[in-house]
Amino acid sequence: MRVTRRAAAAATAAAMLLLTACAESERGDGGDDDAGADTNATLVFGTEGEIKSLDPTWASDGVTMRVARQIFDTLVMLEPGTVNIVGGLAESWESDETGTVWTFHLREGVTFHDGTEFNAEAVCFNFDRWHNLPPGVAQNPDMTYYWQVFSGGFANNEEGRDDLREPNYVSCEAPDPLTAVITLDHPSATMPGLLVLPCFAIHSPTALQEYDADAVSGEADAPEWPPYATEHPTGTGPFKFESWDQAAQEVTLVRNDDFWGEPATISRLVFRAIPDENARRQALSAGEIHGYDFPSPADWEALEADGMNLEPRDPVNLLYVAFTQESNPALEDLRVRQAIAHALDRQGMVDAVMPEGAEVATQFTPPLLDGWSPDVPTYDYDPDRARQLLADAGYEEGELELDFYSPTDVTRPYMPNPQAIFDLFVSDLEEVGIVVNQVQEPWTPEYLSHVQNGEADLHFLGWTADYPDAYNFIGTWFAGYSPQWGFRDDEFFERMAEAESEPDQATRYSLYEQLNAEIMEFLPGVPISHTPPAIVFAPNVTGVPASPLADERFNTAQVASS
Amino acid sequence: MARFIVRRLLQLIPTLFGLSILLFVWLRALPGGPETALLGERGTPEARAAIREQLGLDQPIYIQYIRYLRQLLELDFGTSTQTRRPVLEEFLTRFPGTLELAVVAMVIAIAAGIPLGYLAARRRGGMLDSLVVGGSMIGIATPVFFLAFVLKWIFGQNLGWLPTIGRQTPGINATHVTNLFVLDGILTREWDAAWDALVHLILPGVAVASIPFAVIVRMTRASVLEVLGEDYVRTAEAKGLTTRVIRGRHVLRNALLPVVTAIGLLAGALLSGAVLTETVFAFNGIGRFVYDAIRNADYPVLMGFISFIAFTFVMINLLVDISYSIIDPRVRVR
Amino acid sequence: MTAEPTQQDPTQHPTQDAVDSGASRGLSTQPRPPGPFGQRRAERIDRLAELAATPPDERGESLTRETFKRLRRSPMAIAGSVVIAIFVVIALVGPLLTPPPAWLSFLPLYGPTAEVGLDQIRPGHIPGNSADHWFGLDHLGRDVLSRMLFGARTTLLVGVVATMIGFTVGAAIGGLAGAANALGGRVGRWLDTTLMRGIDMLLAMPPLLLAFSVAAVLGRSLLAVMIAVGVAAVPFFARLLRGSMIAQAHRDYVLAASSLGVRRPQIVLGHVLPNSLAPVIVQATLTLATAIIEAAGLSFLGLGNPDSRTPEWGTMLAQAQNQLSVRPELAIYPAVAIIITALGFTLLGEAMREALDPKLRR
Repeated sequence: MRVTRRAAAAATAAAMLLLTACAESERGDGGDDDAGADTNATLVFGTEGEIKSLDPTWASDGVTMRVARQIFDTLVMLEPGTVNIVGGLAESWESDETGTVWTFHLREGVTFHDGTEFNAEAVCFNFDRWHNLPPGVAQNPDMTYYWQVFSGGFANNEEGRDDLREPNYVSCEAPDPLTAVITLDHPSATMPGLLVLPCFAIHSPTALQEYDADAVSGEADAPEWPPYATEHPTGTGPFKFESWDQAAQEVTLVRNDDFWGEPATISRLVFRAIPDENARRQALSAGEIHGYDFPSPADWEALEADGMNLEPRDPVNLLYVAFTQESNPALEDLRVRQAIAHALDRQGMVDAVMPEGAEVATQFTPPLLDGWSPDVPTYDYDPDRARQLLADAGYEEGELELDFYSPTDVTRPYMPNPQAIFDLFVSDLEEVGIVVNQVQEPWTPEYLSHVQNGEADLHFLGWTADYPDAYNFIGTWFAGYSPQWGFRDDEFFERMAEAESEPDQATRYSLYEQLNAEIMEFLPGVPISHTPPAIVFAPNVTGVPASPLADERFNTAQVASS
Repeated sequence: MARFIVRRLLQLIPTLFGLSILLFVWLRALPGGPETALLGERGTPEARAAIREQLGLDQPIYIQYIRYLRQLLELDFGTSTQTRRPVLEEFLTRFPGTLELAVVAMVIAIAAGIPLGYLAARRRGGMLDSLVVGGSMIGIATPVFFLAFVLKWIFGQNLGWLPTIGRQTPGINATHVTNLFVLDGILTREWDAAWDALVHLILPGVAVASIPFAVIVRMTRASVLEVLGEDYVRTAEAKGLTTRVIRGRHVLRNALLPVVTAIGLLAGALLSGAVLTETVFAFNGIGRFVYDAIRNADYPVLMGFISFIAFTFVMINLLVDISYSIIDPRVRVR
Repeated sequence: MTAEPTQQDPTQHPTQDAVDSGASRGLSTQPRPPGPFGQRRAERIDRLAELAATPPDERGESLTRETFKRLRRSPMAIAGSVVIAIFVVIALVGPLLTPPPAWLSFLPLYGPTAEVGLDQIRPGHIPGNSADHWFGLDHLGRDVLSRMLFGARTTLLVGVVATMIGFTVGAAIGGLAGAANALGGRVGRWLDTTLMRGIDMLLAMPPLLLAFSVAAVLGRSLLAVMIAVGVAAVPFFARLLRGSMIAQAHRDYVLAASSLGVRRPQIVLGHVLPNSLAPVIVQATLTLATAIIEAAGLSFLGLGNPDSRTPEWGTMLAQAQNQLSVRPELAIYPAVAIIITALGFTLLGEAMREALDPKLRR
């Protein structure tokens, strides 16, 4: 296992070099009459919301992470454009046989933006910082969600919080300046994949201390940020922070000329919040921004026709319709669940609503991840069979009544147009004689809290991978009882736990495959689709490979001066 | 004069009192009760208990009301569940944008409305008159946000004449002092920044101006018609004064008095317009913030906004009364 | 003029009555010459109220007949009536035709929620109009013409129910205040003042924002939209009915009736109220126009009817925002329909007001 990891890292590093080489030669070929890349260029990227803070420790939203990815680096990173884990601030890493002692060999000659040297001490300072965050608002699940996913708790857990466990993180040591050893209590599927998230970015210890990074107060709803999180984020990444203009909703970064990797071509990078999707598209057409995330599938064709560089990402996400069995006893009958699965015209919906490259899901794991099983029970669109199954279960036309919940005014990468999907599925269900009570609520707080508390009979939800592992999907839903699904199967939950802590990767993946087949047999919900989210750039912007996990860095971006 | 103002200020007290009761009832009527509305349903039981304590929900209703009144006086509307910052702070950051937009819209409405209304009245029943009257009726029948889309589509996207997004060109490196971007540009002598901000205001400004324009145009027209029929105009004509003098000194001046004094009252149209328009142009003002707040069930922001509107209107009424009493002393007698 | 003296503003500029009126509601605040707080919008309404009390002119024809005569000659009124007639016919017949009965099955119409052309829809690609679909398809393959026809009824329903809510509640408040003022001595006057203070406060608010506050409390449903838009119209009706009743109360026939010993409630119900109705009808017509526009505005703001399967023009327009770059027609059809309909009600309302008001007739 150790060997494979290192080899993988080496191989991907080589591939990266090749890739850049190709890209460069392409540029060389095509760019004779172009003025070529402009090293003074400013790139403006439209984001769907405003950042919450500049310290990704507190982040769980995509916008904050996107900005943080430009300023900070993590120990391990994703190879651009793929789900492969490669070296970042750590050139290589290994774990012992128990999967609890992880040694990271760090990159040499890296400095933080404030001139502080990057070394193992700095790594351990960061991990210890997260581990020792004080009880109170800093330990709120909305504030440090991913640390809590990673470690389960803190050195000093807040009292009265049953959701916090003994921390899995034990210690970090620095035997020499270029080696950091992280010890865990028990093996976990999150290691090292979760560390690609900017929440685990390494900050300058000097700046963290100088600007009181941990001094967050107030309520989790409205934290009062320390100066570090609003004015002084200090990392090792390709861009340095310049300003955050809250009136114009813009964050401006400038090139870090001392970046350890390939320094950015562009000199300034601006993130501008444009919450409305149509407005983002129009801003791009008008040349006011150079790119934005998650263009609506309805716009793909038009954008490409305008010469925009639209890059669909490989889908590592899932949209599903969940049954909440406790909410409606009818759903405890497998035949009813099967009937609903057969009633939904998933292919028709995918064709009409989802972008090119989307596919109907067969199970609760996207095919790009290991652990996806080629052999699971499937449920094709078949309204007659659905009617038959309902009749067998004792429900004649119009006798089964279900509350179907749908969110309003939201788009997610896995769900570009919930209203349309909902309308189609309601028609499908009515077609087989089910009476549907439509309940449409704002995404937060009503919708999410209602469906997660198990108040809906049927509802939509989805997931985009945080880190490339099938457990990030099935583990999120079926590792134990949750009101959202409303069923208990302790024997099944136990086998999920076994799979999660299996140190051997190959064994783990085959366990996932079995579990996936079993889940589809039991049918706790209907997996709907995997949707490629896209990122789009202006015609003169190239060089940013779309990442399936939305992990794009802009140091490779080229803005052709026109 | 002073007595009149004092009396008007005293009259404010029962009005504001009535308003605060309405707002209090409104907050209590929100789905899930005030604590859910203010916290969002993510609120932990502790946070919920804390806010119940803070609002005094276990206390008798009049004590709750007094607490609420105190918070209102302290301008404490809680924190936005979207941005997690205090509502007041959010409003203060965004208000300059809306103010700028409103001023530009008003300027457009007046600059176009008064001359057109005047001309229409001079040639009553003519081509221009029918156009102006018909146009203003269509303007009023058109949903403002649709007009905004059309303007944006034609002038922004198809013709490419004007920017359609935001308050300034991204990355323009402008210094902000007051957050009124045009004024900032002038104050700091960054002329290009001032120009840039001004150009960004034109399309949304025109959209917001549509209804005030329609109102002003018809008001001016009616008013001029009325004055033209007055005896003194005929007397002036009989005296052989030149048309120019008659128009300038008598007709326009007298006809514009009601128009000008009523302009302050168009604030409502401007605010409604801003709420419907800012989103279309991704313009970062109060209107767009409220639009997002609706979509995210951000009740603290909605409550703050409604309090803000109510208060603004009471104040505008007061100012108009006072200013009118200066122009027309007869009012003071009442 | 017999308008009640307590409310008539002595400073009122002579022209203000003549000023625009369609704009009075809708998304605008009506400008009025100043007076005490909350009364500026009120004064325009009061003017309308007075009209009911205008004595018949010299020829001795009744006000109603006179008005009708004038309306028949007004191109505005004719245009408005034609538009409204067409709209009402579509609203009545439309849902019967979607889907069409067997004997009309040659018409290219379908059920409003039937996804007949789903297989032709791809993201970013919606077919335009064709022989099978005269207005084309929407983003879920539903026939737009069918949805427009069916949606006319929902749209009319929103307008009518909202206006009725506004009228009923407004009339109750205004009627109470008016009756109290006209007949009730000191207590009556106190009641009248209190009620009207509250109403004037509401009148000072922009109607859309008032509707918006109500919708935020009620949550999202078609009924909530109707109530919200209706509540926003309440202050207008209240003010109007009160003014109208007070104006009537000062008419000679009331004096005559009461001196003949007719009981007061009987005078109010039997004479004052029926005679006050003309301006209310004018206001109701104008309210119908603004109700439809305001409902569209609420849909745009995300406070409209969440059920996008049942077609309603405002919802259709708000929904079409997402397809603007693909098929702008999807927004244009409902928008034009809303504009024309609102214009129809505005034209008729304006014409009626003009016909009623001798001042506007010159």
